[in-house]
Amino acid sequence: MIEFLGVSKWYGQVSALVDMSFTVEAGVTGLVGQNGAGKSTLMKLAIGLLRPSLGQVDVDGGSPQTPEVRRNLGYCPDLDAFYEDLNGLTFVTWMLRIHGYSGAEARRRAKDSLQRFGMAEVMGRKIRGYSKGMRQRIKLAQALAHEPKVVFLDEPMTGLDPVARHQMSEAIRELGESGVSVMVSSHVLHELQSVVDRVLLIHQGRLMAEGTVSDLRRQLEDRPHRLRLRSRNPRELAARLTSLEVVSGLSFTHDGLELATAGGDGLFQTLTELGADQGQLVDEIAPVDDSLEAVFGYLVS
Amino acid sequence: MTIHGVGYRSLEYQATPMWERLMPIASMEFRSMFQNRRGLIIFIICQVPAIAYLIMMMIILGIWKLFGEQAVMSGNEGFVALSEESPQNPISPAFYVDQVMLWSFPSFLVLTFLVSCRAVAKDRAANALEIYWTRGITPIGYFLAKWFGSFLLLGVGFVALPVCQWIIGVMMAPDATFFDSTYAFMPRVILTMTLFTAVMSGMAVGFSALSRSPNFSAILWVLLMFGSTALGNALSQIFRSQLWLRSLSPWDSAGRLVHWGAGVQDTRDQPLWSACMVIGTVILLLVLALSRRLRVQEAVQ
Amino acid sequence: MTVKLEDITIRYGSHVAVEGVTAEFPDGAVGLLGRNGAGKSSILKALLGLLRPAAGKLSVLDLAENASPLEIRRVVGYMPEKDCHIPGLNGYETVALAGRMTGLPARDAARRSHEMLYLVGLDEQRYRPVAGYSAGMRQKVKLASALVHDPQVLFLDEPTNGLDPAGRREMLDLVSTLADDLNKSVLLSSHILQDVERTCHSVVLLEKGRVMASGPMQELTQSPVRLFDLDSSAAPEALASALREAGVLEIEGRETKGSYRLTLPDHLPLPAIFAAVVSSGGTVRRLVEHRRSLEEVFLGAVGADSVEVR
Repeated sequence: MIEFLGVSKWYGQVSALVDMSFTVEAGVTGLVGQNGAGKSTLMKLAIGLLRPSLGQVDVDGGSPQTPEVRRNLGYCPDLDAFYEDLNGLTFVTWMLRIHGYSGAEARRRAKDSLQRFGMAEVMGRKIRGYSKGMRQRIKLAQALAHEPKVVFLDEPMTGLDPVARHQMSEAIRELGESGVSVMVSSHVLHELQSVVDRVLLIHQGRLMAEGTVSDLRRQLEDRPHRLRLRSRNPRELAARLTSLEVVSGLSFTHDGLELATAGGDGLFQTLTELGADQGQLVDEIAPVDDSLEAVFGYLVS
Repeated sequence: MTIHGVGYRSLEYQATPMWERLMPIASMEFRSMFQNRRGLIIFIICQVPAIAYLIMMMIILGIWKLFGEQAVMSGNEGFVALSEESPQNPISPAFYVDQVMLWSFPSFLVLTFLVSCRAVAKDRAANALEIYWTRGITPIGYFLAKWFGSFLLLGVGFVALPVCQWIIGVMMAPDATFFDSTYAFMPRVILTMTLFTAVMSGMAVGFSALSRSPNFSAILWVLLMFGSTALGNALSQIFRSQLWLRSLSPWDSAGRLVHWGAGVQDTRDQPLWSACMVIGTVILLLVLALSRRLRVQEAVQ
Repeated sequence: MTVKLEDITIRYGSHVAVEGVTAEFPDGAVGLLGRNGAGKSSILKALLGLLRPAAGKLSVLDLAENASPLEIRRVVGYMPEKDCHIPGLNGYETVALAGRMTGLPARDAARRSHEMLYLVGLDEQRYRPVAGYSAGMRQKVKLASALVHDPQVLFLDEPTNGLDPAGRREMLDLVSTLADDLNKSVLLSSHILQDVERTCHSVVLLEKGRVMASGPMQELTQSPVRLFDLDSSAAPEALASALREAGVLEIEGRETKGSYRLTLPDHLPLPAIFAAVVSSGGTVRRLVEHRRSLEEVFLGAVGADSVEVR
């Protein structure tokens, strides 16, 4: 659906993206990177707001700069800027008119879309009086009202309260399951991880990694895995574990041990046996670095 | 050998009195004019009337022999030769009042445009009011500090330099004649000019507290000040019998009050009552508006 | 007890923002949670003396009940949520000014400004104008300003707002340092529940101006039944039967991934689980007690399925 082929982008002398190639299929893709890593540039290239300095961007089988392709794109920008004196319904209707719908059809679709995001009651009020949550929702409603095949959401969760975040996560997940390809960026990696199927990880304008989180973690072989073990007798446990070749580091925590290890079945075999033993040397085994946050930390540091 | 930690140290301090907490705000406001070379140059240009009057005084007192020895009056001849009522005579109060009232209007506009009418608006625009008002000061204290800073800035040209001229005159004059003929009215002049500066800078700072945009409030202020003065002049020229029309301008009205207060014959003889009314109304309106706009809730939402 | 609210009611005209809230904020880091408009910022404002509650008593540390707002602000450091800075100042001047406005003598303000900027890690940028700072640096300046007068209590309103992953981690580490190592009482308000989970020991949860839940994090996230998460490489059928035999009440899970959630009877010892996995010929890759996430607690408390949009 989204294909970047050797794409570079620079603004004057400043290089924003460097030789980026990837393909994104249907489903939810997370876009992860520090501020200034190039996330927004990447999204703007993909929706055709910018032209690549080098390389080629294909979305839904064509250049995003052509009107036919653009009709199938939806974009929810991270900026919080509206025509404050319009009401929500008029705003979304206008956006649909721009996509080429007739007046009546645009209005019907705008209503449907706003209803879908729980804005039915407030869509007649001026945008000026909307809360942060409502503002995010009309941005999302206008991005999706024309039933695009490819959707880009730039930081859609900023400023939302926990309930709204939860609802937004659900909405994004449903969208992905309905066969739309969604690209979403967020700084809250823990939250992003629960929504996305796969991630694109960029750093300083370069694509660092792509894939599912567990794939990425597995590929980081040079990084030891970290395991937290809860134990009633950590010193005894430590004595048993130091003899294992795969254990490369070991430290005591307030209720057990933290282990740095290359992993492998042998270690888990030993741990399982120790756990099964009545001596109760192992109570809990918890890997602590299989999260997107840990993977990101390893790749970027 | 000792290893010194670099950690957190606790703090014991004697809390300073309120005025000392406000001084940094006032001094910041005053210094904002001198942050770069351009500001300094503009400021010096704004002091041209006072400098010109100083030169004039030096010529009249014969301190500066402009046209060679023969052409100059020496000793007391200068100011004795001039009529006592002449506004160019340093022994008349008009000398110290008119350099401000007749010539400093442009300086006043420039200085208030650059500093005073932005004072609060720029803080509001940067959301800084929340920082100020959640500290150990009150909104009123904050406003007074800003006002004082602006007062000092305007006071250089309106009060300090005229006083300097007088002191120079007293010290440079060959005998006590100069002092004898001026000391009686000088305190009254200084007091009136101080009050005048305080009211005018207060107006400008108060005006800045009404708007959110520093540029908007500065431009509007200058338009109102300049516009009302021009209009007042024009209308009083057209309707010669209706001299109160001149009082449309707060500057001219305040000038009328200054002349009355300092005991100087006013060339522009609009009635005192209309001048009082205009100044009173402006102050009243500002106080009313400020009591609404400078509440803590306005900044902290 | 650092902060105590007794039956606080706050009104804006006829609108009741906070109604009869009674809460105690213990020492250490406490999370203040709630949706937009739940009354969090009203409570913070009342504590800072920016507005007066219509009814009720509030006390901060051992200050008298009728302590003036300025007295309260001497022992409280406040980090606003909004992106704000004082125009025209650099980092050092901003923090020093904040100190002087709180009542620090000029020398102390200067010393503390340098020290606090060092503490938050803005040492090298302190002479650059704040207007040119990045989002993360601005948050740090706000934190340094909140700390400049060495307050015992800190109110941090959305300190991770707008920060990227690295910036967030740094900020949260700082919050933990303040609460755990420097023994400050931190009141942390955040929409990102994971931030609260990571730094706070207890939580006060507001909804519609009332306290819906409060208490130590451990208690709030406790599951009503004994649940464990298990990852195992053992063959699913063999594992399931071995676990049932050992006494596990319920097994649910995604077998393809080898992840299961087990419901255990109260007294079943853990070695039995390990033993069951051994007997089914696999290894345990992960076995941890399942705690409810703060999000579950939150959504449960506010009844998220039925809530309207705000």
